[in-house]
Amino acid sequence: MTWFVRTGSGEAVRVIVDGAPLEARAGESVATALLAAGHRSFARNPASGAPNGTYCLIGQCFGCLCTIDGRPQSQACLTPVAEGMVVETGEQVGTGDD
Amino acid sequence: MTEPVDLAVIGAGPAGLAAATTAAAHGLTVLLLDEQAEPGGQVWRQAERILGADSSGLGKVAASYGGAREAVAALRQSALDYRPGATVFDVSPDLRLSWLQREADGGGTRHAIREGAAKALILATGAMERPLPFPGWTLPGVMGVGALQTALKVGGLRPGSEGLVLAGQGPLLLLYLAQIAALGGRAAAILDLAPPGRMTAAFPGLPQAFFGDPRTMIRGFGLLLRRALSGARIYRGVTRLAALGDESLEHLSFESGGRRHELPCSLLGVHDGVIPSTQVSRLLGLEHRWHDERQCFEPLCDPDGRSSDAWVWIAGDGGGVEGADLATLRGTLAALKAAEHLGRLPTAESEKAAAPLRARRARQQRARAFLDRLYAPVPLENHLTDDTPICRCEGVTTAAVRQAVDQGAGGPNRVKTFTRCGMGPCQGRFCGPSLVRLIAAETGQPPDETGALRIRPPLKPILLGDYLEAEPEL
Amino acid sequence: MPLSSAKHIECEIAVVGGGLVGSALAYGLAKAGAEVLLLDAGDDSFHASAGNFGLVWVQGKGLGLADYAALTRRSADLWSGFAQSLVEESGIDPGHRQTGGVKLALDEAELERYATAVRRMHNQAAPGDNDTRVLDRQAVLDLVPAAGPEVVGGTYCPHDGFADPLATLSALRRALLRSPRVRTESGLVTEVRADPGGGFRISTGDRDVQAGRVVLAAGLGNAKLAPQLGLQAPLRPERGQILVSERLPAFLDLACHTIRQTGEGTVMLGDSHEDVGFDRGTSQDVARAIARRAVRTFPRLAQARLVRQWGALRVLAPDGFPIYQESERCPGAFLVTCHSGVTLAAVHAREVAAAILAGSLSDRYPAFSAARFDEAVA
Repeated sequence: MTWFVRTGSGEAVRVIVDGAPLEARAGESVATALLAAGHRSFARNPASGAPNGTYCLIGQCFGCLCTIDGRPQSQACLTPVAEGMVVETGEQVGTGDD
Repeated sequence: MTEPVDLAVIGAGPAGLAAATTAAAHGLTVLLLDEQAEPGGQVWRQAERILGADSSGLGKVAASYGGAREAVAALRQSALDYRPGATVFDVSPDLRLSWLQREADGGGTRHAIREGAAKALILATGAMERPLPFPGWTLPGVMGVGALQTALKVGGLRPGSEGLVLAGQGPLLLLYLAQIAALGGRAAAILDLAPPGRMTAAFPGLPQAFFGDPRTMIRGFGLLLRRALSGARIYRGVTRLAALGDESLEHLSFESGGRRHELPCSLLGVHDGVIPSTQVSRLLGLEHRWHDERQCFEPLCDPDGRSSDAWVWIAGDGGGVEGADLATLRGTLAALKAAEHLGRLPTAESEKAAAPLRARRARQQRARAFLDRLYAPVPLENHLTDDTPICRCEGVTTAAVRQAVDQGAGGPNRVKTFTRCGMGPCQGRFCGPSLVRLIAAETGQPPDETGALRIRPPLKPILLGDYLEAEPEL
Repeated sequence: MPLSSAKHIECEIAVVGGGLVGSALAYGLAKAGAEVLLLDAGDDSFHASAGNFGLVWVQGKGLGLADYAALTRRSADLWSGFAQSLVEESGIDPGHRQTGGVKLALDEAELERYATAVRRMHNQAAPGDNDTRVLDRQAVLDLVPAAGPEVVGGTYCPHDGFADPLATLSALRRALLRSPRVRTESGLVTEVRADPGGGFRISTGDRDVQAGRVVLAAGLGNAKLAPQLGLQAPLRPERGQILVSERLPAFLDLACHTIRQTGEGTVMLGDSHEDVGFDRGTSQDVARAIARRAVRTFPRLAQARLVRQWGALRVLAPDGFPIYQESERCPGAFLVTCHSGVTLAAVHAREVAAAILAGSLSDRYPAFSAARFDEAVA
């Protein structure tokens, strides 16, 4: 069972997501690369602790934040993938003391 | 401070491309700032790649890219200063712009604050999907239909074998359905959130709409027909929609035809039309008016797009949603008038070029009026519960907003101070529109009196460390 | 609008201004048994309360006016009890914590300036003790381990702390809402005058209020209203810009003068002092200066996102101190204005409200009479 499938074709670009290599497509955003790989949420909401939903993909909802090339809280939907790019998903800072 | 350019344009979608290239063609120095890496905005997302794609694959999406080839070619031939990857985070009243510039730096990416000034400004910041809060809408797996369409254009992603359910109404939903069908995808079910009786209400406007813009209307009915033939199960008059799941969407619950339904679902596309992005126009303190039928604020503009600030124009959907065709026209119109205002184009010449554009726009607006009525926004109360978060960032619920109103918060800014609604990173983009509707309903005030969230810099968060860099230069 | 069509309201005592000062006074007046009407301007008024940094700050306050130093100190000490009452009555925690406060210096010259100010405060004959002390770098690190390598020292006062201004206002509003003796109406007061037959008439355009007594607590709005009642409020706005970060893991317990981490984890950074009239705008130059200083002080902030920047207007008398006064021409009309609405909230609710009700405001606070400005001229 797949969540999303790829159609069409494109040049391959390799990025590193949470330490593992991932093949993305040139020109796409980090967000679509993650969605294609089955990542349903890229981080947790600092206020509620619940997983963030990636809602809009056009830079308005801030649900796709993750660390990209060391820059925290980057909008994955606005960042094009690049060869060798390092992406870190997972717990967001600020969930509290626990 | 560097010399100001004649014109800054924010946004490189249909309106921004037309505005920037038209202005440059009239000899203005133009700075075009766009957040995306490639020109085209949302409707022509990845225009150059899609138009160049194989017609058996993503090239099938290119049917909705009418005008994109010419617009992007004009940009590439123009001498204007085009800056992709530029996130504008502040615009001062004297039109100094601050943006975060993303640029490739060896193997990585670097970000730097840049500043520039302009004599005139055209905002072509486009539109966003109208937020439609309902229980569970923050769960991963619930996305805007526009987002699904963006995933298709940007990454070639279409829903896989887990299945897709679409909920909502409007042309974009129908278009997306047709686009994935062409690529072998489908929706298992469509939940029509329009209350019954909308077609009857809109029907008297149909002849005028056909007369005004036959192409759009024929395209629209074609899409409706394809929905009927898509094989998706259609539930009509859906209310009490809820998305359920633990860490992500697992199933849906809703009412239709007088009974409750449950559907397994891991991917839900939601759509209730689009509304102008008004962050920059609000930041600049421009006047806005509530559009009752479209249930949103729109910047107050004259027929050429000139705002309440004589040096600022708004072109395209950011000045009121009228679609991509008219966005190009509105961009051209605004650029002509800006050139005239800067003394670079004689009034007679600008008027001669502007008059037929205004006439065509007025004609095509008749179809828009029909669509506004047919797809009038879904009433919030159809799906809201007390514990539905209005604010996705801070998790502020309907009940918390109502309580703040009961405590005497008569407008969104007071509700914000009482509840933190709108204080998160999205700066109220996702709660603001619902917040105004909710407060107006609670207080009985017209939204023009309720007002909107005050927008403050930075329009998008930047890192405090970004300020450590050397003094920014253009 | 003619008064005849306006909604007519009668009350024992009207408080003009629904910010922190007005709300705290209304709260105190009602607790003391008065029937109160609180008049609050709309959603978009200047609201120093909503733009506030949230310090309950004692150190350095009152240099040149010992009574102000003492008032500030009393309020800081009353705050815990005030906060507890608010929690009980409203269910909202105003987020008060008397953590002690530090002011951090980034070079020796700056530290010397701070130390001089502390010495001058010690030399000032003040009722109550002054226990602000100078810290060297190691002492700072003991209190604030996150301080960066550029921090050379600072000053510390154990009475300093902070409260969440929005939560405080929200708690006050809810407590007022639940009090049977308080009624709140919204509307910007445009006119206030003494009735020949006694009492006061207050107009908001669509409301016509008849009040036995009136308290002006309208912040900068007092400047226009006070003369209508024979009072003087020579106030000017001073803009302060504040930057706020995303929520961060807790790293800063103490109030830090221009840097404060809130209960939610966001970090507030301030503050500028700008003479720009009624302009609440923001500027990138100030943002850059504030951000740079914050990152030099706490290097970890370089990676923190700036979420919002705003400008708010301080309410300043010519000497920066409060004005508390009853009108001589119109007895029963009171003026309460200050720029430290958070710090002084506790003393306003407890002490100042009681003095108003007893009709002894001017006697209780002779040092805060606006007459001091006449004397300065004479």
